[in-house]
Amino acid sequence: MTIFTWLSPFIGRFHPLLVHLPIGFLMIAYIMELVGRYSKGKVHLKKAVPFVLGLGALCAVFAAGSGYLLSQSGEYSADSVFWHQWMGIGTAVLSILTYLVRRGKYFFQVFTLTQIAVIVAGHLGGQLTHGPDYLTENLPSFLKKEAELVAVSMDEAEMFPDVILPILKKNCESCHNEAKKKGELVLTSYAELLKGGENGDITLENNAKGSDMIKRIYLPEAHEDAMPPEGKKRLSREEIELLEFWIDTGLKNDFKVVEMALDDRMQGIIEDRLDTQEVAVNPVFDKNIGNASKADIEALTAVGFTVIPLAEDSPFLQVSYFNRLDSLTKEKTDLLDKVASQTVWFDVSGVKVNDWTFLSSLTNLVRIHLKSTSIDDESLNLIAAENLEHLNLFETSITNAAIQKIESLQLLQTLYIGNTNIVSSDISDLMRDNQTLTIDIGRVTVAEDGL
Amino acid sequence: MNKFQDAYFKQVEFETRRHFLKQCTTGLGAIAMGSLVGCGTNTARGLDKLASMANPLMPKPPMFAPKSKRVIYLHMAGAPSQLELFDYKPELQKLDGQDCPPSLLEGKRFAFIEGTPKMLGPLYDFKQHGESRAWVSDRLPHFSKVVDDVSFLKAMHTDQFNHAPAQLLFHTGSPRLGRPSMGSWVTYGLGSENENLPGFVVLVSGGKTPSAGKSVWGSGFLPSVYQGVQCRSEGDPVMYLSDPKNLKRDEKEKIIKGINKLNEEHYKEVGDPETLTRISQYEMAFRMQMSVPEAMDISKEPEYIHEMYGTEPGKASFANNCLLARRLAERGSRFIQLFDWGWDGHGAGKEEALDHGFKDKCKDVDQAMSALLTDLKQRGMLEETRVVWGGEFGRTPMRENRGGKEMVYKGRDHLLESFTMWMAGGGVKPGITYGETDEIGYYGTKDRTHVHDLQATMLHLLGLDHEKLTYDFQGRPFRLTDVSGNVIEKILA
Repeated sequence: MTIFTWLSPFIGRFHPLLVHLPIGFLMIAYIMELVGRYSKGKVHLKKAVPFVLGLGALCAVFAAGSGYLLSQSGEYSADSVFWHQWMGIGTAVLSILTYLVRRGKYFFQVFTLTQIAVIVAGHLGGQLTHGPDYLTENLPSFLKKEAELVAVSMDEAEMFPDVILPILKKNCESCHNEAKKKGELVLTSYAELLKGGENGDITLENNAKGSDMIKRIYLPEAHEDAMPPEGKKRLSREEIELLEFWIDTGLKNDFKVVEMALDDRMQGIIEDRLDTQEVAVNPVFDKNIGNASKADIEALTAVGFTVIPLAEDSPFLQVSYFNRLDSLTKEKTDLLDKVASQTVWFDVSGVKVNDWTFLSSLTNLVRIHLKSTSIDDESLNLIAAENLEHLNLFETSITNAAIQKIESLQLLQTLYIGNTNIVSSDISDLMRDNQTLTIDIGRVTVAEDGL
Repeated sequence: MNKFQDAYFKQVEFETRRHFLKQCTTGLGAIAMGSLVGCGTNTARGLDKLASMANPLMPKPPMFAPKSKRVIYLHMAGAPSQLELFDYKPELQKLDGQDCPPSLLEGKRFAFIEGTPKMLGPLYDFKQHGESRAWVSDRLPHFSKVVDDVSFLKAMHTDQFNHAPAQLLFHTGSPRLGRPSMGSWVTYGLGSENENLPGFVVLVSGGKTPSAGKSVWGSGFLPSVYQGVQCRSEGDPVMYLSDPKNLKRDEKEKIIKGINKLNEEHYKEVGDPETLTRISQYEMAFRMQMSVPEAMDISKEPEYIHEMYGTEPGKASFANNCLLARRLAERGSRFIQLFDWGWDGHGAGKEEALDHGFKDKCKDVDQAMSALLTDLKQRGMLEETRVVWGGEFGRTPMRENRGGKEMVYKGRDHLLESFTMWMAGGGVKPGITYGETDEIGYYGTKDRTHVHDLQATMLHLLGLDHEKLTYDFQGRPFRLTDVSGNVIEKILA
């Protein structure tokens, strides 16, 4: 028994590899049969069909077996695997059957059926690994039904369609839809929900605590009647509160959210959920960048840089060499080339930098601190990071000539130019043109000054 | 029945002292065995991880992308009165001088209040300031100019009503001794960015260390390399760091190398992580001899900076410590902990009275802490630095009546249920007020925040999950917030 505890998941993992064999063998056998059947010059192909077919059947059995072991690993929910599993087993059985009836009357018909089974089982398996939208994702848009994502404002939002239905969609719909109807219950529309399931109504108007739906949500995960069932994601605290609130306030359908008597907490929860505006992420972080090599990081560390990943498992790096007594020579900055694409935060505050050319290679910078350094207008132009958000030039010798460069940084959010030769009157244009930019000119913030 | 008893006594007589001792030794053996097998020894997971690191203070990546990189924590030891600074209660003014209704006293325990105290209205005038319209009293004229950079937590609450346990709860997550402090957890989780400076620095002003003693910056069961290093703005910045006269630096280097070699041998033999700590501390102390005097020397700061902070080089003061905090933050220290003693406004003496000494304390901190915010901001550092200000609990809306008598000076007793703290720095919405208290500031009525919630939030902003930053000790993983604490999601930007 013990050997199976590791052996079965081990073998299970071979399923994605093994499946390709029966698919290939059974298909080539079928093609050989077709060509042999309809092309006179290729009749000899038919002779080899039983051999390839037998091989395919054998592999199909192995593929189905390993697939079964994989499904036991718990990585896949039983529902999503259901059809793939039975189509796969069906394929194995059908291919053996095809082999057995190879001399029989209905051989070609059975073989065709096997082919269909292979294709369907394969497709379902592909959906499991790659996700259901994988194939259609890159279809031209006119062929696709777009899932409409319309942001609803708090004023327009209606209780059921905009607040409750999304919760059901996320947590319930995969089993309780028109196709699956688990427990005779469908949760895709207001009317269907009120119909209830095989045990009758799931909601009692104005009585959330007595409603079957809420009771089941609160049951411990391992309980037989718990919903969502074991292995599925549980509802969040807020989602449960919203459902309870909705039931307790009389199961409103297209009732405006703003007209409901909301306490602060409910108001907050609903606002948060309706708020579909995502915080804009700097395009740098969407880039697909590999990890910097360990040796390159060690080389930097050895000469005094501090190099830390932005987060665990993130390829992006924060690199600093700040307020050190020894100066940053060209030999040291040359080492930065190796991690140029990974470096997003960079800090050389208070350091004597001999050569600024390295700035032109750090193209993915998001934050850079050049505070109290020898940076000047000319070397500032070397900055090649077009997605820069924070630029710290406090206590440097830059002048008005740098403004043009600063203006070219489209994503800049904060700029520190205290103790420089730029005076506040020079940056009024910049302030006007870029509303999202906060400029700190030292002890007074320009934004607060209302310039 | 008698026979049974007889048999029992016979058996008991048979058990001599010798048996007892014999059994004891087996018992002790079993306990020793337990510790050998894994409880509290270096086979625990936490230590294994540490032992595999060449340098325990090596910078480590945060768990997720952080909002702040470092913390400056301004702790007003003794607990300043929120009712005289931030929590404006005009209702309380109307009740001033009246007897406290019994409903507020039932089932309550106070440190000093006895019998029926009188209510005490706010002693100072309040005004709204900045675009955020935050209420600040006239005791903090400088601070009222920077309120738009600050987020107030108005409904803080705690479990401990004596200074020492309350301070321990704030800094170690537990009111009892023995847990690592927040700065230790943070340096354990993130390491230090500057190998030449301690990652966790403590600066004390006000003439005394906090009531809870040095345990509030201790490392508890974490290796002691993570404990706070106390630096001073007067005299030697770090005690016992300077060399004896006539000892040359290269000689010193040789000595340290020799000692560390011996220590390494010892570590290989015994495997005690404290040996590793000792090695890295010798090395750091040697490097610190060069870097610390430079970092701690505020005399070279330009004149306008001294004017801004109100600093006087060479003195021990909160203002000097604020400027030092900025300098250390600039140099990559991870956690800079300031304690300012003298905020315990009971009114039992003139110096601590809310109508006397309190004014001076306010003057001591107002300009410096506001300058710290402004200075960090103009240097572009506020975004990456978390500044936190607060005491260890709040003060009652009742006037303290020590011994049941009206006292000469005005003061307030300890209060657990509501007090104000503020934070500044990236990752938190600036200019907001989170949490509300009732009309006399006695209880938090909305968005109450527990000490553990604040700790969870601070770790979160540093890119650390307070539930995952753990250390195995005595057979189970420990964390700063132990089994409680929720990140205050609503204040995150």
